[in-house]
Amino acid sequence: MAVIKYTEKVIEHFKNPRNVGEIENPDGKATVGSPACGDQVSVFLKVESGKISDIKFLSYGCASNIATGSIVTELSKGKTVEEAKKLTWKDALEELGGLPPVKVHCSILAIDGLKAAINDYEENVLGIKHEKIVDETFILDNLKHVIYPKTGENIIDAKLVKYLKFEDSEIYLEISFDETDVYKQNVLEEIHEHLNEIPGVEKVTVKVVEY
Amino acid sequence: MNLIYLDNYRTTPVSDFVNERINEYNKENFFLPVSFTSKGTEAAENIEEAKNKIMNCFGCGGGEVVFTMGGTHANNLVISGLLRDEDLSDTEIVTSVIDHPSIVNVYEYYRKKGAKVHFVKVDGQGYIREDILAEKINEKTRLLSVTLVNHTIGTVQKIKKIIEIARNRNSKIKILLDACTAVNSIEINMDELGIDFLTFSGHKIYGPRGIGAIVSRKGVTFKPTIFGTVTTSTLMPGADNIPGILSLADALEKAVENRKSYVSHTMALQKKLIEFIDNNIPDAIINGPKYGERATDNVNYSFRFIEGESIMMFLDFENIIVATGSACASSDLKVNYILSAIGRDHELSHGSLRMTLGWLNDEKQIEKFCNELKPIVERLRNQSTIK
Repeated sequence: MAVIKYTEKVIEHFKNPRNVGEIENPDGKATVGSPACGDQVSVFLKVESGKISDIKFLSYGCASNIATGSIVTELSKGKTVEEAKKLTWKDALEELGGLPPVKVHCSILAIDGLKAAINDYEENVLGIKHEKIVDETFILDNLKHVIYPKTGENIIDAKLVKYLKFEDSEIYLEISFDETDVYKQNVLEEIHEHLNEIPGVEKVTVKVVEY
Repeated sequence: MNLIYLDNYRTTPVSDFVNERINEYNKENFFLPVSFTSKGTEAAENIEEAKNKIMNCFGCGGGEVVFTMGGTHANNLVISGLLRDEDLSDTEIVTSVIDHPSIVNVYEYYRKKGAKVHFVKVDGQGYIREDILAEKINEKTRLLSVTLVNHTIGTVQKIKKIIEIARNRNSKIKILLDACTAVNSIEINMDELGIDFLTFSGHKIYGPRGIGAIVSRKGVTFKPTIFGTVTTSTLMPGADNIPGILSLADALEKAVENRKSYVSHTMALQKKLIEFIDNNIPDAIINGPKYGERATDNVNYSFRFIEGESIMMFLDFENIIVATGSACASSDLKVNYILSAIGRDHELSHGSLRMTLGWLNDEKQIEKFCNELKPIVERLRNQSTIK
């Protein structure tokens, strides 16, 4: 059954978030999301002997955003960087006992923040260059970060995306919605937010097919 | 811990007075006015009396009252009823960008169906731009719909001037006034103002739920858009909610009778609340007109650097209920269209909080609210990514 309220654990982490704040001279840091979109998370890391020895976060966002930030820092603290890289938003969600479907999209940002901070650490401290091959698979992976608020699934698993083409730096996407779907605008904004950030993408066209 | 309910624009509790009446009507006045039997006739007479009470409350002489399931239903029936037989390609309708969704969303539907629809812009405080309004009304304009008190920011539209502008441009234009959030605090005289249709709802005036009404000025009507067995009105067929109708009239009469004291009661609380926030919480911006000019029962602020659902949740832990314009807390995750229309950016919309006052609130509750609000805002700001 879908979770229709915040679990006690979500409330507890929202009320008493762990690891809130900043780290001076962090080994890795990142800020993801934006106030315009309603939520933003900053993650700061210290790494010792390949393990995350300290992690802190700041959040501009709603209760689920703050609670997920808190749980993600708890889940990753003490883990090796390689282990932390494997954490997914589903792990965070499970640890919190679930979120209402309409709130699942909030749980993604904290994990994205963690991954981006690790990326920052690897580039700046370890000198590893991350080269991204932007192709349709990469774009599909990005779209899996867009959650359909009605069901709490990503829009690929929810089978909303009907067609995708990437050619000459342009993404063309077809997505279908019920005529009365109240989340249409939210999903479209999220798609643009995710796809416009991809390096090498110059134009994103989303065609909406209503049924 | 006693509940501090500061969300009276969403809905009001049923007053003890109305509850007693509802119980009485449920036992004794549940009959339908469908026959000339003694009970049927009595029911018909009671409905006529309720209609007359309602028309009296709104200064409407010799008009008509159609009972609906609430304000949304009422606005839908009027708009769709007026447009039913129109050639939409040759029809224009006007409202403002900040009107209630039960108007704006219906207009949007008719825009898709081919009507020319104008959403008139508002100024930074939510007042309809009169210059733009004048531009948008012409001989093809069939209807102007106005929400008298904005449900989010408490702007009271200058309705007399608005109607004057509209009628100067088109003497035949119909005026629909949504008075749902206005009835408690604003006196409305339909005949004096020249309002054709007024809509209101029971649950916003300490009255029965699931019932509202359309009050039509003498000689004006609209066409039916739903059909069935007629009991009291061809415009709203089906078995009438008699206890609802009778108690709606009672609740309205009570609201009108108590209006002066309601205004002074809510205004005192509003003043206290606004003064506290202005003097104690930095980077808080009032949404809507300033104190003295806005509806007396509405307070709306944006708190910079933080998100409204978080504030709302922390207040909820203290048993205080408010509302927020944050997209995170809305049913469709959209940015609040009213705050956007008055020029608030996304951050300020997300960080907005609406406190709507009512009969059950007192000074002590407002003090308690203020004492809780300040540390919550500080705490969330401390842990925010933006400073």
